[in-house]
Formats: sequence, structure tokens, C-alpha cells
Amino acid sequence: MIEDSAPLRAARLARLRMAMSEAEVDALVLTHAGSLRYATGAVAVHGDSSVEAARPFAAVVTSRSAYVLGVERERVPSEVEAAPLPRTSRAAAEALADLLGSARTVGLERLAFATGVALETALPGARFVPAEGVTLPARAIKTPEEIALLREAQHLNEAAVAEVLPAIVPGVREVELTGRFLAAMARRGVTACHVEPLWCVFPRRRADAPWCFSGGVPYRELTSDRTLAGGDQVMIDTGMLHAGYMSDVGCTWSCGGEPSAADRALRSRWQEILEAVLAVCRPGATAADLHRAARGVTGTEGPAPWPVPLYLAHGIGIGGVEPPFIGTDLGLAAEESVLLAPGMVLLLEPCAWEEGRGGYRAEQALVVTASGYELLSTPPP
Amino acid sequence: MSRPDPAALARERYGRVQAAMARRQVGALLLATPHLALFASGARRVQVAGSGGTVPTTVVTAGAPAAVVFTPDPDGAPPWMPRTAIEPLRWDRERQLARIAELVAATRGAVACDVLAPALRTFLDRLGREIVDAAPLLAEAAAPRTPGEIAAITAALAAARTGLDAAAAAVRTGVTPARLVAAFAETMTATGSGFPLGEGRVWRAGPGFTRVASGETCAPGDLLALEFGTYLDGHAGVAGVSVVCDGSLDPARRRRWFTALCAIARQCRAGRSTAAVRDAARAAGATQLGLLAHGLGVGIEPPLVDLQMDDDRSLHAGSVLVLAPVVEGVRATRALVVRDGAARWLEPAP
Repeated sequence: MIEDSAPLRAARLARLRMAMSEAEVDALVLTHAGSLRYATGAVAVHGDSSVEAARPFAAVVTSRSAYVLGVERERVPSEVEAAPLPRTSRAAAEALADLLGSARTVGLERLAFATGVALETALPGARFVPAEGVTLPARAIKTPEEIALLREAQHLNEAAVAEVLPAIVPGVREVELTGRFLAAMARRGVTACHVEPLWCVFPRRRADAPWCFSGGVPYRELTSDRTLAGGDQVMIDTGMLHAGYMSDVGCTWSCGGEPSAADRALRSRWQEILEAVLAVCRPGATAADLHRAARGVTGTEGPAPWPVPLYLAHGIGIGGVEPPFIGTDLGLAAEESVLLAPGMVLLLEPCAWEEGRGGYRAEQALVVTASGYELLSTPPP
Repeated sequence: MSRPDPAALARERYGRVQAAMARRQVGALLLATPHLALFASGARRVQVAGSGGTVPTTVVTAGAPAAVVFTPDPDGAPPWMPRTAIEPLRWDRERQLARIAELVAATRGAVACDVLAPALRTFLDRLGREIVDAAPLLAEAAAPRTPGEIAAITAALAAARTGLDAAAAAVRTGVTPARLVAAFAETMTATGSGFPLGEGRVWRAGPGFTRVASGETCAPGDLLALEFGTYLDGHAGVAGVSVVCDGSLDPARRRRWFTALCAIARQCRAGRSTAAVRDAARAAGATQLGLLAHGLGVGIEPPLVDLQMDDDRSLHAGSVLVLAPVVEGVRATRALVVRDGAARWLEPAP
């Protein structure tokens, strides 16, 4: 039942403990499923926020020990101590406090409000700091085994999307494509749906998407019961977890399978943006370099070539998407301080859109290498 | 049967949230947990597995016509929500918190929050206001459900049950849980449902229950417990059943499970307590896998009834409970709505 190999678990825990040491954090309380798995190899219940609230879990990691609370014993590696997480706030806080012992600086993710207050009370001398100061630096650089899993995850997801594309025909509903996709993933052994699959028709005119914020391209995010018509541009974006690692596959497909001249022009534009970004993608480049490369194609006067408040690119790893987020309101100044380094995995998702013609968006995952980058995705269909 | 309008249901819920805030003298409600944010605001977002972030994405201020939501998915806001209440999600945490502080500053009374994280705690302390737990307020706003909400939950339960039936029908020697998830997914979306509540789970009954890994095959005679959940129109449905691989469930065992279910259901009346529900389960010889029972609404909700706990909470009329007793290795779920008199089943009997 434990999917993660012992070397993978050991490598991740070593990175985490090194980051703890650098941040001078004595202990961590981790409550995100991805963090829990990264630190311990334990696999928590996978579900939406209400499922997690009903079955809360946590990991407590110190320089010498790792404990898991609230996860079935069979889903926790044997070398990791496991126990139930009491359901009342006070008892849960006391259990965490017992494990934290004399830790003075504790990196904490998030707790239900009552549990958080009870933990503060139980450890009056402790200083709580955001755990992300430890977890994000540790997770930013992937080990070779992590990269292999991310590559495998991408390929499984791409194959499932490819299986569904022929079903994008006039008369089919968007939501039916979701079902076909989830089934195609499950047949490949991938059953943890991380992000609601998007199979959404692009708005062709800004007036068709009055809800959109200014500054970016018009878009829809929410798959609906809408029935597709011939020629609709269907934006696809799917995120599933394979062995805990995120696959994120996106492309745009013309309903009926035959792209128009306008569709082809939009795809060419997307390709141009992608290539401009890839051209600057190497160790030592900054996130701002990628941002500027994309804007260099489209110009800084018009909307950014991605939806606002989404992004040009983001990281992916265990448990979902992660920093760096490139193209957000954090701005170029913040992006100047984000340096690309070998082992970082990015997901590029530029979008080309023109009034009246509609849009084309696709995604490409890459790992930064010593000399540049290597794509983990195949070109979009 | 026409489906209830989720936007109208959300507006009713928002009114109940405002009323609960007024009763508790809460001036601002800050929510960072996705299903709670949906509950209070009615604004749907692309659903993502996991517990959510550490910075609130929804702010309800006392007397406001709608919550202010910070979202990347503006197409998910209900039509009654003013455009000015929909703001882009800020990735810059300090800017997001500064905007929340502006909203809170215009209110009086306590500030209620659903989570605690170090940076958020620093922010809350700076507000200089009484900070309280949002959970009791939200629980108060959750009940009683309106007939429209009950209908929406019933539709979500039916969607989950339809998908579960397809998965159960696919159980045969050599099948894997992944294949059952595939059967569930295709059927689920036929009903209009687009996101599973969680990863579908399959257990093998023995001396205890053992989770069957997604690639593990089922063998003849395996007694399997299946549980799947889904969302439909912003409401959650969950369904569980026991099946025997290439065999049939012993009718006597199934009857004993049903007898226990009915004994537990008899305690599900307004004013009775979760302790009474547990006592009835024990008296009927029932155990649990996970929880004995839980509430249902926009997700899994309180009360969470656990045989290992000794809490004692009153049941409220209009709340929906999913009962999941285990008797002699048989586990299945059925949902009901609590009333002053006998509970009303929301699903047909097995």
C-alpha cells in the first residue's frame, strides 16, 4: 500500500530537514496532504476540503523523528510512527503538543481555528512561523526520482486527454467530457482527481465573458452542462495526482476536430509565445525574464497572454501546483528575485486570444537542467 | 424532475449566514476553506482537492448584500452577486490581507475566522478585535435546510448512488478499484455532476477492513465495501454499498445491517443527541469504518458521529445525516433528514 520507494522518502526527508536547519525551525506541523506525503510518505484521505475537515490529519517532523496522526496505519510507512488524531480540538492540540515537546520555533501550515487556538494555549512558549518557509525551498528542487514520476504523470494524463479528444463533437456536453477523462485516467490507474477537469468553450469576444477581470484574456474556468457546437474552441485543463505527483495537461481542441484558419493562427501565436519563453529558460534566469519574454511577443500595451488573475507559469510537484507563480500581481520586482535552478519543474501555460477569433491555450511542463531545460510534456495535439 | 437553482439556494444560505452573524454580534466572517467559502458566499470556484490556503478568500461583512470573494474564477459567482463584490485573487499575501483589513475596518463586533496559520494570526492580532471561531456560526447557519436545499442534496445523493451502482455492477474477479472508479466517473457525469467529492474507496472486509489499492485485483468471494462521492450543483452526495465479488451478500447479514440502520435512524430526531445515535448503534451491534454518521450539505459537514468519541451534540430538524453502520462486515450508507418526528429517508431502502 506504500507507493513511495524508500530512497525517494529518504531523499525528500533529508531535503526537508536541511531546509529546517537553514530556517532554524525546530519542528514542523504539516497539514496539507502533499506536505504530509513529502515528509513521511504517508498518504492521507484524498478529497475536497470537507472530506479533509471530516478526517483531519497531521505530520509532526523534528530533526530526529517523524510522526503521522490521523492516517490509516496501512497508508503510513512502517518506519514512521502513526496514531489517531483525536477529533476534539483540545485533544488534537494536546496530541500535537506532546509530539512537539520542547520545540521552540515551530513551522505550522494551517489548523482549524479552534485547534490552532488550543495549540497556542498548549505551547505558550513556542513561536509559530509559516511552514512554507521550510517546505517550499525543500520542494522547489526535485530529485531525479521525483522528476521521473512527474514525467510519467504527464504522459499518463496526455494519453487520457488524447483518448477523449475524438469525443469532442457537436452535441456533447462539456461535463460529459469530464466523465470520459476521469474514466480514461482511472483505466490508467490514476484515481486522485486534484483539480476539477476543465473542458470549457473559449469566449470568442470579450462581450461573451463579462465576468472577466481587466488586464488579461477572456476565459471561462467552470465546466458546465453546455452543449458543444461545431467549431467551438474547447479549452482543456486537467490536473490529476499520480503517486502523489501532479500532472497538469492543457490544450485547445476544435469541436469536430477540424481547426479553422483562425484556430491555426491562434495556435501559431501561442507557439511563438512559448518559444520566446523557452528561449530564456535556463539556470540563473529569473522568473521576470520569462515574464518579459512572453510580453515581448504580445507587447506590453495589450492584455497579458494569460488569464488574470492566473499566470503565465507555475511550479508543479507533490500534491499540486506550487510556486513560483509567474505573471501574477506579485509583479516583476518580486519575480526578479526568483532564480531558476536545475531540478525546478515549471508548467508554462500562455494563452493567445484575439477579439472575434477566440483563444488557444496549451500547457507544457519542463524541468530546468544544468544547461537549459527538458520538456516533460509532448507537444499539444 | 427539475434541478433546484443553485444561485437561489445560495442566496437563501447567505441570508442565514447574515442572520447568524447578527445573533452572534460578528461584524466580519473570514473564510479560507473552500467548501465553507462556497457555503457562505455562493461563489463557485474550480474545485481543488485539499483543505485550502492560509489566507481568507471570502469576507462576509455584517449587513452587506453579498460576500466579497477573491477569486480566479469570476464566472462562478451567482448572478445576484454585485460585480463589485467579485475581486481578483491576489497572490501577494500582504496585499490580500490589506484589502481584507479595509473590509473589516468598516464593521463592528467580533471577527470570525475558520482557520489559523502563523501569518494569519499576526494579521488577526493587528486588527485589534475580538477573534472567534467561525465553526459554530456556520453550523448555526447550516440548519434547518430549506426544502430546496434538501432537494439539491437528494439530487446529489442520487447522482452518487447512480455512479456507485455502476461501480458495484462492475465488480468481478480480477477487477481493480481503478476500474470501479472509471465506471463511477462515466456514470456520475451523465447526471451532470463534474467533480468527485474524493477518491473513490474500496475496502476488503475481514477481521477488519483493509483498503484495496487502486491497482489490486479483487478475488472471488471478497466482501467489498465501496464508497464514492460527488458534487452536483454545489451540493455533495455520497453513497456506500457492500458487494461480494462474483457472489451475493448473505441475505441474513444484510437484514441484520438493515435492522441496525433502522435502530440508529430511530434516534435521528430533533432534540436527540449524537450520544443517543452512538448508543443505538452499539446496542444494535454496529461498528464503523471511519465515521458512524455525518452531516451533508455543500460537503461533508458536522455533526461527525464517531463511536470513539463521547461528545454530545443535539440534532437539529432539517439537517441531513448520512448513516454508515457496519454490521458483520457489511457497510452501506443511507441518508435521511432529521425532523421533529421520525426521520425522512432521502434514498430508497436497500
